[in-house]
Amino acid sequence: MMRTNNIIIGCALLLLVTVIAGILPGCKLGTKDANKSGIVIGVSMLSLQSEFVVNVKDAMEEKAKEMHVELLITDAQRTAEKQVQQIETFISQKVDAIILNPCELEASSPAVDKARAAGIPIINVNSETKSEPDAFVGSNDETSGEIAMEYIAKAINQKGNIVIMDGYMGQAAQIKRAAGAARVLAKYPAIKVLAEQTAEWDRAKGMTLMENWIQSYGDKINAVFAHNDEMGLGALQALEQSKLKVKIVLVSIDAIADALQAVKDGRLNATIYQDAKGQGAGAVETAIKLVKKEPLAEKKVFIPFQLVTKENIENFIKK
Amino acid sequence: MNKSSSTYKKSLAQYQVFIAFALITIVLSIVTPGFFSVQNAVIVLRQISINGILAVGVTFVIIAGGIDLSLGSVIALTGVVAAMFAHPGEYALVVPLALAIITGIVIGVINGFTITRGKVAPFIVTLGMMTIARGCALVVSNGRPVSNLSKSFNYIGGGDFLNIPVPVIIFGFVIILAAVTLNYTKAGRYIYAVGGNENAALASGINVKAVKMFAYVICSALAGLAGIILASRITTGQPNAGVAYELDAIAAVVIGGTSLSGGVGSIAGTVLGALIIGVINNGLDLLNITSYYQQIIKGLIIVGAVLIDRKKK
Amino acid sequence: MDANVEFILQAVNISKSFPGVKALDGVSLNIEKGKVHAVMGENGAGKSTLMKVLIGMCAPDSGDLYFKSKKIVFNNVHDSLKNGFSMIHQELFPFLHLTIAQNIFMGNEPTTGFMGWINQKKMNRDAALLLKRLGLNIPVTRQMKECSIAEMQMVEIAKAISNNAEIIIMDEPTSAITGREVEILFKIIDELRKDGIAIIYISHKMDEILRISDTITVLRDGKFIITTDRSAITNDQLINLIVGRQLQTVFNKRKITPGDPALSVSCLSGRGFNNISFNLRKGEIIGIAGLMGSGRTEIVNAIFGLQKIFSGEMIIKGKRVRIKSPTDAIRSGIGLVSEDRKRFGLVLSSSVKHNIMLSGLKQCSNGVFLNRSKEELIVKRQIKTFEIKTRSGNQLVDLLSGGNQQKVVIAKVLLNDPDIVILDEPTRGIDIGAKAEIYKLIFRLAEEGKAIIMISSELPEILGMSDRIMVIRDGMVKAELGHAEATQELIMKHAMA
Repeated sequence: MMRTNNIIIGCALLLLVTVIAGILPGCKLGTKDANKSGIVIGVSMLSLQSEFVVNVKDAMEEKAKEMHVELLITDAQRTAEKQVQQIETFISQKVDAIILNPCELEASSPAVDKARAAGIPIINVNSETKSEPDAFVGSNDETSGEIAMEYIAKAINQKGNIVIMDGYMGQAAQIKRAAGAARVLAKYPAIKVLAEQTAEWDRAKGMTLMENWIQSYGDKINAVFAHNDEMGLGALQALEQSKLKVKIVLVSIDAIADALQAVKDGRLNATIYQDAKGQGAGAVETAIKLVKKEPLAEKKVFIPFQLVTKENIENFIKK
Repeated sequence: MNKSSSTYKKSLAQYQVFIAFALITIVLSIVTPGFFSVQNAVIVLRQISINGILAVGVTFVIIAGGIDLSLGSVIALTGVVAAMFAHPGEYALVVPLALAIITGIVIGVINGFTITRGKVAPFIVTLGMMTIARGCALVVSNGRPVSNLSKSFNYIGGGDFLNIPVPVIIFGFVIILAAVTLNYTKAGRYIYAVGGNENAALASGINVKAVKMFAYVICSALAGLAGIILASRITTGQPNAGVAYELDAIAAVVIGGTSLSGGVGSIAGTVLGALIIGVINNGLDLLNITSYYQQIIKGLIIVGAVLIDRKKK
Repeated sequence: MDANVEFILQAVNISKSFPGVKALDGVSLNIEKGKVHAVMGENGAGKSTLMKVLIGMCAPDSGDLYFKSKKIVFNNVHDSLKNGFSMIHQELFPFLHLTIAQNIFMGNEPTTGFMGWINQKKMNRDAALLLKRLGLNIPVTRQMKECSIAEMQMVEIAKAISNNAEIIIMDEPTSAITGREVEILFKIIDELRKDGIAIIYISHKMDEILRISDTITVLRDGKFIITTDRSAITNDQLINLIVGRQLQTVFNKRKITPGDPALSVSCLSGRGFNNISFNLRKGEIIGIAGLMGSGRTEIVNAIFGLQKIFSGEMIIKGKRVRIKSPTDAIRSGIGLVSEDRKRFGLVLSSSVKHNIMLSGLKQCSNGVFLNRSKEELIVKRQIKTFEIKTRSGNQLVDLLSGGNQQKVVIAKVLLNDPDIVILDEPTRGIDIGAKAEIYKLIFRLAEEGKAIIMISSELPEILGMSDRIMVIRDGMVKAELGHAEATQELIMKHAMA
């Protein structure tokens, strides 16, 4: 018994040491030393498991280093409740400003309210909350849906059958992208939506859903709109496997690395570039301005979406 | 006491799953255009192969009286590991494959060791492993999908061999190997004994710890294989892939008549369970029924299957 | 049926069939107030089914129940409980983490009348009164898990009384308790009888039945055989009625000269026993007697590697062995038929075949793969040798009778051809016919030269079987008695002190 316990304790220690050894280099201890300005900004990100959010975070870190401010980055793991707790912790830590990448429109609002009540400037990045923050840096997701659907309408000569792959139902991005697409579709009565289903932002699920749609509708489909690139790339594989891609227009949103490559290779017709770098850097800049009580030109900074096709791909592939 | 109907009780359980499967298939064939075709059958088989392999693996653990909640995360971790070594022109194909499966085996050993030596409940150990493996997947991939994989690697999940998708062929081999192991080897027999009555197995001179360890290692190794197929199928190692896959796998096992209390179950049942889930997903998609209803229907079938099982007893 | 005021409960012409089996075939039972009515019969005679019908656990196909001359139908156990029926099951399932008082009043807690708060004080007071009435002196706030099985039984009886039970059914109440505790139980039964409570008493133990009962009903193969006054029947008559045939003397005389030493144990100590030494020869049967909890089971478990040995040594065939697990023990030629076959003997969810082969798979495998046709042959042979009554090897072992289950365990243990066979309570809970077969089997093993250790709580059994008897008390050997000198009184004297 004793021996077994010792082995387990040993294993646990070993694991702990490994984890610490792994984390330390990644901790960027330098950030603290470089914090000459003395400004500390608390950051709560939607999910560091999402590539786009990680890109925003990276851009923030880069900007923070450049401006000599310290960032405390936390991951809300897609739960609003956790996010509110993180903001509460920031408030008790008395950070100088908070950057919030909201999980949900309604449920993350208390986080904004609490920060404002505590007199700490709060900036929403990427998506919005019901409660109004001190500043917003991001893009209007509805525009991305509009750009994508306009592209499809043009590509299929304003008539034909399309299918739509939704993001996780009820999330702000899904609601807005769907709304943007619907607004455009209303203009083109000759475009018929054969089916609309969620594939939960997931590549494997997107692929499965597309396979089943191909089985149902086959070559009746003229175009596919996916709410994000992950699902779009899944759909792409299903289409390529059934040799239908040549006939079908496929557009998705986010311009992640894989999607850009696919556009470059002429496999994906278009993706919509959301400027992670611009959003991340913009959020940190705005935060510093608010801390220093400098005036803001705009309370809402919209970083524009851009359509990425084979024609302009070279501008994006380096970014 | 009813002493006469016992022999075919077991086979009857399997008949029932089969009948349920047949009924669902017939109904869907009637109401769904394009459902009943060889082409769609191939699609369904390809779609269930990953869940099927996981389910076969977790069948070992469940028959042995345990549970494994870490599968979804293991699939992500092994997928990422495989993808990292599968860039074109870097390593021979066996390297990513071997590394992914070895990663699976190591996780199985850790699970098994903590459960048997540390005497911690399997539910807790594998719940912990669920987040640990997910964390590891994110650490090694820096939270980003690992893409740009070699053609030969992508063939595993996306290719066809003699018009049969490769994952389906792999799934077939896994089924055969698993069924042979459970029915025709000592280890298989011991798994049933340990799950049925651990004390009696111990008193019969069976090395209970080794048997449990074997079950967990098989389960995680198969998760490693599934991870390879998933990464290859979506042509990326996704650190956040496979969330809640373990629940689908466990659902397939339960629908297939395996008892969560251990000691009873079969690979055939599990395969039928996976088929039922796959056919329903596919059929409801074809009917363009929203995923909300799909979830309700799947839930009803899981509970219904167990209800029928209880009624028999 | 005309009402006879004396009878509190009458079951008339009860029949009940299960697929393939007629469990009860026109059975009638008349229960008197304030009497102990024993129901006897071999396993499978229909006793359990009859009791299940009485307490509403299963509905009869035909026949009626009259309670105080009024016809009643019970749809479930709750119905019968409300009408004053209580059953003390053979296996108890108390709430281990609750106190005695909480267990007694489970589902029937005294409340303050205001918002349904539980009146803890009143509950404990009432519980203490009940226990006192039963002559029991244990604190009611003690947790159930700290109680002995006998005490748990008493708590069940207390619960029945608190429910104002008029009929208490006791199913094998003495199967898990020992001498002194049985005496206490019988005293309580006497008290209940005086209070006018009717008791239906089910047991296999002839001496108990003859001691405690007023009336005896015998069932055989689902059929009613006889109801008779206790005073009108003898032991031998009763056995004949139960088995339906003349039973030869159960314990055959045997002449065996013990051979070479098989097992020598010296100064063995472990949890629950201390400094145990004995020698066992080939062909010899050593009986271990002692009360439950005396450490006798712990000793054999330790020898078989199920429990840790702190110190001491074992010599088998002249060689010192270290046994750390059952695997080691089996390899050293030891076999154990455990006391609790459902916990340590059988995998109930598996077939007869799989159970028989559990520790002997190496006989039909090449190390990894099984040779299933060879396995089939071995299983057929074992089923035949041990006269296991089963439809086939593929039958679930759970569905066999207790005696046949025990034979499966023995067949499993003996498949490895051990030189030393340990049998811990080998005849517990099995009927007389099967008991005799098991005795015969044990004698045959001894004749074949196997060395045998047998533990039993039944003194006639241990006296009839053993060449030598070790009496264990407080984990130590208190006496070693030869076959000739041992008597029930002598054993009990050493066991209880």
